[in-house]
Amino acid sequence: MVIYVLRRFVQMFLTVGVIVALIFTLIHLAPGDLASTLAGREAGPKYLEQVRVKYGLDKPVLVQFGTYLSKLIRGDLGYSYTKSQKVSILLMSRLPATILLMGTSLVIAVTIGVLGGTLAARFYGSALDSALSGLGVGAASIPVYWLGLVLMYVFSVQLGWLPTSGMRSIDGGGVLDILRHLVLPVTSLSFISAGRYLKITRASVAEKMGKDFITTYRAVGFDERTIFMKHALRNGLLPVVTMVGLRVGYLLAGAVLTETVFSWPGLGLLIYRAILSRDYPLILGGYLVMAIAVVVVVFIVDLTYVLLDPRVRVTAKGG
Amino acid sequence: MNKVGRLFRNLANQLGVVSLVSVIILILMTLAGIFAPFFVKDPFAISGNTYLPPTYEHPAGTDSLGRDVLSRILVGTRTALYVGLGAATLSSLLGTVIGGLAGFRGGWVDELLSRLIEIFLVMPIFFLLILVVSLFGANIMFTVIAIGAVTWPRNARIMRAQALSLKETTFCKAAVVSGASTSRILFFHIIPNGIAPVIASSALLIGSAVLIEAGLSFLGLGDPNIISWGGMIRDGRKALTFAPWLSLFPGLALVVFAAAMSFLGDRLSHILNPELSKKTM
Repeated sequence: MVIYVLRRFVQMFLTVGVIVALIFTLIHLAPGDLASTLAGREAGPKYLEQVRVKYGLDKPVLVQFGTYLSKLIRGDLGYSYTKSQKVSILLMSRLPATILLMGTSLVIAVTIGVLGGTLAARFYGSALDSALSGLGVGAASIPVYWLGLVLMYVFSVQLGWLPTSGMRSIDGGGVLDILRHLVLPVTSLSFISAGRYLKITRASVAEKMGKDFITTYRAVGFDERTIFMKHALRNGLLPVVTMVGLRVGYLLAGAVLTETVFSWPGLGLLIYRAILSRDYPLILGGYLVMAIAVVVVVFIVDLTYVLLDPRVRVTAKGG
Repeated sequence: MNKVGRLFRNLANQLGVVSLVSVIILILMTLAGIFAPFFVKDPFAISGNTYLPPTYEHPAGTDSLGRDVLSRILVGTRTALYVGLGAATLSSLLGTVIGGLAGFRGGWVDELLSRLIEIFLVMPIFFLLILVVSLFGANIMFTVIAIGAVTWPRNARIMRAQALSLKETTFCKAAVVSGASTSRILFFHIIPNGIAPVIASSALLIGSAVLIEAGLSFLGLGDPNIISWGGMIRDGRKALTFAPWLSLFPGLALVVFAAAMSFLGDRLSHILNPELSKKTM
C-alpha cells in the first residue's frame, strides 16, 4: 500500500516535470523572435537589446530553463508581459470563477450521467436503454460552444430571461445575480459532460452484469433487483470514479470554450487571451497550473479508488 | 479474400439500425464533400445580399459578405474529412507500430512507452494543441499532424495490449523459433491479427479530431485559408442576435457528422472487441 502510494507520487511529479519541459521546449522551438514580439513591431535594435536583457532572453536556453525551474520551485511564475502583474496573482484571481463553473457542472453532470447510465444498464438492450445511450452519444458529440450559442440565442436574445455574458451585472448584485449568470454556461457544460459520464457508467455497470458472479447469484435465486442494486451497481460504479477523474482534462477544455462563449472571467478566458497576445509567462504558468491540477486530481482519485476497492491494494496496478 | 468478404457481411448484419443510418449519413456527407465543387455556388463569392435569412435561393442564408452559407457548409465537409481521416490515420499508424513494438519487445522500450502513455493519458490534450497551434501557426496540415501526434498514445495502448497477448500464441512462438526477424513478426503476424480494436478506436478518433479542429477554429486558431465549420460558427457568433442561422447550420453539420461517427465507432468497437472497448472507452 505505502509502496503503491509512493510510486504514484513519484509518477505524478515525473508527469508534471515532463509537461513543464515539453511546454518550455515548444515555446523555444516556435518560429519568430520572442523579444520582437514583446517589444512591438516598431522597436529599434537598441530597445530590442534592452528587452532581451530585461527578460533574460540573452542567456542560453538551458540557463533560461534552469532559472525558470528554480523560480518555479519557489512558487514564482514570473511576470505577465501584457498585464505587468505577477502571473501567480493573475491566475489566483481567476481561479474561483473557473472552480465555480467546473464544480457546479461536474456535480450536475455526474449526477445525471450516473443516474442515466445506471438506468440504461438496468434495462440493458431495451428501448429505454437505446434512447438513453443514444442521447448520451449524441450529447457528447455536440460542441460545447455551439450549444452555448444556441442556448444564449433562445434564452437571452429571444426570451430575455437570462444574461448573455459575464459573471456579474454592472450594477453589482449578490449571489442571486451570479447564479443567474451561471445558469447558461453550466447547462451547456454539464449537458455535454453528462453524455460522456452516461456512456461510461452504462458500459461499466452493464459489463458487471455479464460477469460470472452475477450468474451465480441468479442461479441461487436472488431477485434481479437485489442483484443489480447490491452487486452489479456497487462493482460497476467503482471504475466510473477513475474515469471521471481521468477525464477532468476534458471538462477543463470544455470550461475554456464555455468561458470564451459567455465571457466568464475564469482561467480559460485568461489563458486564451494570453495565447492570442503571446504572453509566454502567463501561458506557461496557466498551462502548468492546469496540468498540475489535472494530475493531482487523477492522483487523488486513484488513492480514493484504492480505499474504495480493497482488491487493488493486493494486485499491483499495471500500466 | 473470402475472409474479408465474410467480415463485411458480418459487419452489415451486426451494425443495427442506428449505425446503418450513421453509415448512410457519412457516405452522403463524404460524397457531398468530394463533389461539392461541381454543384455548389462559389463559397468565396461575395455579394451585396448580406445576412439574408434562409430562402429557396439560399437554403441556409448568407453571411456578412453575402456568401452562400450552404455552399460553405458543403465545402467545409472536405475540411472535416481531411482533418478526421488525416489525424486518425497518422494516429493509428504511429500507435500501431510503436505500441506493437513495445508490447512484443518488452524491456526498456515497453517501460518507456508505458510511462509516456500514462503521461499522455492525464495531459490536457486540447490545451497542448491550443499552445502548439498558436505557437507554430494555424496551418491545416500542421493542425492535423499535431492532433495525430498527441492522440497516438491511445492507440499505442490498445496495440500494446494486443501484442502482449498475441506474442504468447503458438503461431508467434513458432515464428520466433523459425528465426523470423522482429519486423517480420510485427508486420506479418502481430499487427494483422491485433489491429481490429485499433480500427474501431480510430473511427471514434475521426469524430473527436473533427471536433478538436472545430474547437481550435472557434477560438480563432484555424487556418484562415480554409472553410471550417468551427470557423463558421465563430464568424456567425458576432451576428447571433440578428442572423442566428450563421452559427446554427454549420454547428448542425458538425453535430451530425460527429454523432454519426461516434455511433459507428461505438458499434464497431463493440463488434470487433467487446472486452477491450469497455476498458478504453
